[in-house]
Amino acid sequence: MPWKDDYTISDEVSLADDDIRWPEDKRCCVAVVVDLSLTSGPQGIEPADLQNSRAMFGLNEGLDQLMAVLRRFEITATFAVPAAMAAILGNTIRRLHDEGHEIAAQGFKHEDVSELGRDEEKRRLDLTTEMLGEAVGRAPTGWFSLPRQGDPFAGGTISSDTMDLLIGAGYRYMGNGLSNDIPYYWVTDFATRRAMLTLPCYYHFDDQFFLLFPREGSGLEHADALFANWIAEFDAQYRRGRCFSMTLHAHAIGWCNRLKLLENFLARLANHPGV
Amino acid sequence: MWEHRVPKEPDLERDHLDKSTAALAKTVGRRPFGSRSRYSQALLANQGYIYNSHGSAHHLPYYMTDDGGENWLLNLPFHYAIDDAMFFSFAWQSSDNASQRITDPDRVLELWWAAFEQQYRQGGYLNICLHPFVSGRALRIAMLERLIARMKTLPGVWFPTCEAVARHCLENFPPHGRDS
Repeated sequence: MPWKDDYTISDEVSLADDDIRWPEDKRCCVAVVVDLSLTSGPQGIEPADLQNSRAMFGLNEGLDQLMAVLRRFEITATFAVPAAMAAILGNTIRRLHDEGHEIAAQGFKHEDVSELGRDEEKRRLDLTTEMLGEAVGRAPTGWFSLPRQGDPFAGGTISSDTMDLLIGAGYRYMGNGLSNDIPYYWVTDFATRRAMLTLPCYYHFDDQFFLLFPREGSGLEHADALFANWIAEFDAQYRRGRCFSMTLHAHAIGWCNRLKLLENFLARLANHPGV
Repeated sequence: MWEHRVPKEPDLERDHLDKSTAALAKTVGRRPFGSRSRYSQALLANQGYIYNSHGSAHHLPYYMTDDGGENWLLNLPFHYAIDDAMFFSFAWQSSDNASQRITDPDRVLELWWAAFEQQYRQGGYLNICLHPFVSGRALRIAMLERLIARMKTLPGVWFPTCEAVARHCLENFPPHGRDS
């Protein structure tokens, strides 16, 4: 149907539960993604985003508390890092890398690139790869364009060139796709089978949409609904042998009772063999 | 609908409805007899449609005429409170960020169960609206399984298609005309 041309990226069907295989015959794949961006909207990180108490907490105590919880449950996470944050927080990024976590790219300053020209987007993409490579000693293999609280939709933004540029730059995967609940291929050119592996990400498992959304002071606090969503999705995906992916922000999930919810959730995972 | 919109030009509107009907007939081998659309009632009725489904002037299926009191169609009530997207889809109907109300499946299960129970007690009707990209997610499939299983613990619940409900109503409760 013509109206679907710009509406979905693919008509592919997903893999059935019984056809999914994880390494070492594991039953269910659980991915923890930590978004280190502090931008509030499509403009990307600006100086003011780093000079408030939320940022101070998220980059210090909140991150430390989150790291302690991940360490306690022996979870290796992927950190989605804008290059601008790596430039400011070199030591922190190296520490995360040294602890075994993955450092993935999240744009130059996690800005909306959908209106940039191809050349300018490529310039920023290459600069991002270079800056993150310098910060951790190896080039990132994954790229994220996670949603921001101020976006008018919840899927993150890329341009029509982004996927092609990422493939050209040697990236191995796109970290957030809405089109499936297991990893899938994002086809940029069907004729030549040019495609990029894309990992599932769904905003109903992203803390920022439930913890004072859309902003502190006048936002709604639905930590209970976030926790219920994690449990409901994990239970279903564990039963079916599929995949569960959650997105966390240290400034949000690191705060007192919310951190306790994360601990409770991870403790529940630990009781399920084969995760 | 052909483009998820109703063209203002009558000829184009007719063309869209004809194409929609033909496309579905070609795909499944049988033409559709029902619609959830805002195509004009006269057009739908003249093209052989027997029901539409939008708006909720009554809990039960009811008859609607057009502004001239003609071209009646059965309406199967649609209500946003039993529409998955109202609870689970970001920026639905262009709502702004401060208006988001995304929630968890347990809460919706209880709300929908309460709606079902209330209608069950009075022999009523519930037309739940699901979108595959919303309710197809694992956490909500699991919720729907629980909801339907719970409904099936009660005797006498009928799970028909919309067309089957429409034909039942037309046969057993035909329209009386406007003043009767």
